[in-house]
Amino acid sequence: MSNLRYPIPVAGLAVCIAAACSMAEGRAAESGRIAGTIVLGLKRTGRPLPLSAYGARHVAHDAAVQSESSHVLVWLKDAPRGVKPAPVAIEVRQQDETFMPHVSAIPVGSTVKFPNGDNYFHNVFSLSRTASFDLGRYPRGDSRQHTFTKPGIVKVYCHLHSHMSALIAVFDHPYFARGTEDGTFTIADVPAGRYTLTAWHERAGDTDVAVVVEPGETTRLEVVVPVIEP
Amino acid sequence: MKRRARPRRAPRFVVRTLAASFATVAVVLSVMFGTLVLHTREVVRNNVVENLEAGQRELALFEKERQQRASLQATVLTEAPTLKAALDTYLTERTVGDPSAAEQAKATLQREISKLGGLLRSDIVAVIDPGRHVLASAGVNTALWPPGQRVRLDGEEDGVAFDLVATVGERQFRVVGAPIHLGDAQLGTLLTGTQLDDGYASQLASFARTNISVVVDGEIAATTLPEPLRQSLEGALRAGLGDTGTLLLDDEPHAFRRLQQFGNTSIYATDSVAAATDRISSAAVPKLVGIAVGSVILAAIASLWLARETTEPIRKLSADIEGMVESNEWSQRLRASGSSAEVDGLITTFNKLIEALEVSRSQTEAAYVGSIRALATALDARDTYTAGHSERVSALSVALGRKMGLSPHDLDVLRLGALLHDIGKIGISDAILCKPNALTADEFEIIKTHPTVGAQILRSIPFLEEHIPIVELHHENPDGSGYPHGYRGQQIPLLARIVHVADAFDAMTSARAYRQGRPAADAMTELWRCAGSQFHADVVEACGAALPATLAELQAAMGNRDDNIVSFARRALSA
Repeated sequence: MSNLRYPIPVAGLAVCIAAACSMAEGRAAESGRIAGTIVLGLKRTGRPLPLSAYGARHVAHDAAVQSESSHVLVWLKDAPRGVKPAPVAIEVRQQDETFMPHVSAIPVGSTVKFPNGDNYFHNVFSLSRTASFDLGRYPRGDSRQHTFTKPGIVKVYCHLHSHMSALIAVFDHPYFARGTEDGTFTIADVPAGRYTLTAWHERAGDTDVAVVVEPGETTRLEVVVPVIEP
Repeated sequence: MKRRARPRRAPRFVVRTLAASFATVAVVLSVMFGTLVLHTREVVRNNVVENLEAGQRELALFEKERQQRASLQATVLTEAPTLKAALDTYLTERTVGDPSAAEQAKATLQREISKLGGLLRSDIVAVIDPGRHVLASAGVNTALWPPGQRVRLDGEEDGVAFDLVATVGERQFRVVGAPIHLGDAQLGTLLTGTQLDDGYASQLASFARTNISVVVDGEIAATTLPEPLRQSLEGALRAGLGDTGTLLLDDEPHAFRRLQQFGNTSIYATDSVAAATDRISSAAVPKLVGIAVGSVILAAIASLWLARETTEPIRKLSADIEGMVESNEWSQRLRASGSSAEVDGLITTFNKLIEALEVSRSQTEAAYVGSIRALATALDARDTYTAGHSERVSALSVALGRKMGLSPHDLDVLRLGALLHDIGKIGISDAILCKPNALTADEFEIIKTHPTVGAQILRSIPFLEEHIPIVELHHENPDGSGYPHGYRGQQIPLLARIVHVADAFDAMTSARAYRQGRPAADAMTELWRCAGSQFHADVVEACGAALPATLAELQAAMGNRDDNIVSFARRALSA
């Protein structure tokens, strides 16, 4: 389904880094920008299953509503190699039994803190191949963190609250972005050339769009992401 | 009183009473049993239908509760964080396209489901995705639910959202579904359920206490019915079956009822009316047979008693009459039996009949006797010397008989026999009979025929049978010198001996044409002289004892009419 190519073979990494560094200055002048709008479409994959007689467990009433477009990730599928993004430190807060934000995108080597903003214990764990961990249970005000060293997608859950989940996408290149609350995204400093842009949603999978980046120009486009009706 | 032979022998009374009572008992029992059987069948049929209704209600409650319990259970299970995490991770990894990572997540999911399968012990626990494909399964029938297997779900549209029929290949499962939510998204559905197989039918059958058939899409998916009934039910299903009623299964009436309907599946209960009837009959038949046997025995006893009570007086009456016939003794009257008014009425009527017959017979006899007496008197009157002879001999004979202690019957016979003793002389001519001088030998031979002739005359009259010996043998002597047979001693009957003596006495004391009558004393002397030879001594002795008391009167009367002697003798007899 997905054509995302990672992880990168480690053996070729050093060669690429060397090449990239030597070309960095020259490329900068030749790079352009991608600015786009995410349109969430609807897609049915089947009739919705009947609800339980007891209904689902809805508890996160107080949680801030996150726009669905903020759950969409955008990256260049055939991203140019050589530019290693600088690690960052971000927070995924546990507030009102909800991970805030639900979706995060970070470069490899970044550290994510999971502060507990609720009056009760929380837990953070992951079963994903990219990063399997369990940070244990901890009370309000406490925080645990994890450094993501491999590119890939990591789903994070709370063992105490089964409805809580977060998604952390780890990239080994800088050409990625997350949708904003109003559904826009920007990828800057993209070397000019022809690319395939992938928009990804955890329920919808990949949506590929061809994109041409002109030097010094901003390429504008609209990406329609089909999403399974909740 | 002779019993006439009938062409056909009439049956005994007891046979009739037995036949009548047995017929009555048989009819009563038949009607009773028939009514009971019909009534029982109706009651049982209603009972069976009611049982099915009750079974339906109970089963509906039971099933609803079970499904709710299962649904609650499934809902709780879907909140297991590991299950959710595993499922969500798997789905995410699948979209990202790393097969090995997806497999690992799937293995985690399968492991979680296997744990649930071990806990629930149900036929199937499975997680399916929104496209109705199996992601992971566990339980007894997990082999039928391999990953990727398409599952058809029926019953969603009925509004009973948690009560579904899942079809996997050719097999049906009754399942409850609980959606697995993560945030607003629905990851899939957890299904737990039971296979609709014969085991399921048996379980419901043991609960509802009837036969249970599970029908899916008009076909029997599972049943507790044996083979021939199953085929009949399939035929009935093809023809269309309502919610309740009766139908013939293998030619036996069965009540049926649709207990439940969910999705494309119906659960039918069937119960044999006949089987239920048989159950009740087998319990009641021994009692009914007992009642029947008791009734028959009671009827037999009552019949025998009735027959005996009725026939015994009749038999006794019959025996009494038989005795009277055999002894020819009609003087006694039958006594009332007291058993029943009818029998006593018969006895009274019989007594009246006997009286009437007695009167009639005595009148007849009196007429005969009167005629014969007239004849004897006429005979005596042929000769003046013998006038009144027969009457006198009769009177004397009775006097002697009474002296000798004869019975009243013998005295009656003696009286009439003596009166008739010379009746044979009717055939002897006056020339010989009234001859004034001594008879010649030939003439005497003729005289000697009169006992035989007299006997012949009497033989023509039935009721004078007993008198014949008197007439025939009144001239026989103990020494055998008499006539006509020359009998001796005990060969001569007593009555004939008595009349012989009385005849001789009267002959000697009566005058004859050729001599005077001799005095009684002389006659007695003569009798004594000839006692043992010509006369029996005991009779002569009786004569001697009887006569002296009346001798004076006899002597005084000798000169007068002979009638005096008769009247004397009568007085003596009546005394």
